[in-house]
Parts: sequence; structure tokens; C-alpha cells
Amino acid sequence: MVKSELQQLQEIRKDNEFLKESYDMLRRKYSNQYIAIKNRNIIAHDRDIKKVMKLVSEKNINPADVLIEFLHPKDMILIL
Amino acid sequence: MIRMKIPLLIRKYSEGLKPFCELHIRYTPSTGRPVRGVCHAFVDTGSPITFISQTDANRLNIQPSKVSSRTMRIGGSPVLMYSVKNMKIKVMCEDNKTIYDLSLPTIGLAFPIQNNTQSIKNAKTLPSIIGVDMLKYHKLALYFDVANDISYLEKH
Repeated sequence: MVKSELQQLQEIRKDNEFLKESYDMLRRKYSNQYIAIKNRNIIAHDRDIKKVMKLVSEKNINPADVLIEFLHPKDMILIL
Repeated sequence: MIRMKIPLLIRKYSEGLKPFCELHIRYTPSTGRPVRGVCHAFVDTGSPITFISQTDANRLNIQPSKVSSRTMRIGGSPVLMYSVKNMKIKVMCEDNKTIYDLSLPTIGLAFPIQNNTQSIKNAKTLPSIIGVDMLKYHKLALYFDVANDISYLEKH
């Protein structure tokens, strides 16, 4: 079933909120790694983004539909 | 007069608190299949242009054109900035029901310079960014009250 744009935005919003609530805990656990979040769950993690996308695809989930974030180490301050 | 608001989520990125927006992307390349998916980008008034990061471009299967690019520095690291057209960007409004079109004539794609180790390393961890070009084009004002955890874009 193809989800509507609104449904997809509502879902990623919830996952973004999960990332906000859990950021410090996730960074302790997955520092220096990419994490993939779907439905407020970590569905894949690795230092290599290609591996994360492969793991997501293996779960029959389109990587285009998940939130992927790189968790910088705690001591790293990135000024953009 | 009621003004339309696009809610932003203030959350950590690296060690800083930044206002993030969820985006729905639909892209029709000149050749190949159309792509659609979601990503999140933070609103950065320090960036003159809006761009999709390499990670999001790969995830969404958006390929840069190999013919035109320019070098830019982001976070102190050089990247190649490609331009793409025909990308539709939509966001969710404050009521969580209405969709608003935030498309631009061109959107950047930030890719690393292949023979530059620092560029390759840094570009992989960059987020997608909503720059000043989008705020100006769509006449959006940024409200960012970090102390009270409230942030949104407001349409004039």
C-alpha cells in the first residue's frame, strides 16, 4: 500500500520526536554510528551508511521511508 | 489574520540544539524512475542555499548531475554542490493535516570531493539543510525560542 504524503510526514515526525527524547541515550549506545529509526524503534545501526541501508532493505523497508541520523561522539561540536 | 505555521522540532544535533523540519520529497529525474520519500532538515539561517545531504540523496536514490557543480565549504569542509530541478518538497502544517508546498526552482545536493579525505569523512555526516533561499522564496519567518522549546516557520 502506498502511503500518502501526509501519513509519511506524520510518521517521520513521530520518529523525529523519538530521536529528540532519546538522543543522549542513543548517543551513548551508538556513538559514531548511523542509526535508522522506524515507528520509534532502532531498526539498524552501523558505522557504514551503506550497511545500514542494506540492513533496512533486508527488513523489506524502503530506506527512503526511514529516518537516518549520524550520532556524533559527545565531545564533537559541529558548527555549520 | 491567521498566518500559516509550519512547526519545527528543536532537538540536539551534535552538541547543538537546532530547529528541524520533516520534508516529503518527490523527485522526477530527466532519466530513470521518479523517487519519493521523507527526510528531515534543519533550518539554518547561516546557509544561503537549501540542500539535500549525501546520506539523504543516497537513501532517496537521487543522483546528482555530473555536469554542473560548484565547491562550497560546509562546517569547514569542502563539498561539491550540485543543483537539481523538478524536486517537490512538501511539509506538514501546524494542524498536522494540511500539506504545504515548499518547492524551489533548484535544490542543492552536497557530495564530497572524491580525492579529499576530509571532505569524504565530513560530507557523510552532514544533515540536509533548509537555507535562506527557501525562507525568502516562500516569504517565511523563522521563530526560534530555544529557552521555551518552541520553533516554527510562519508564512507572511
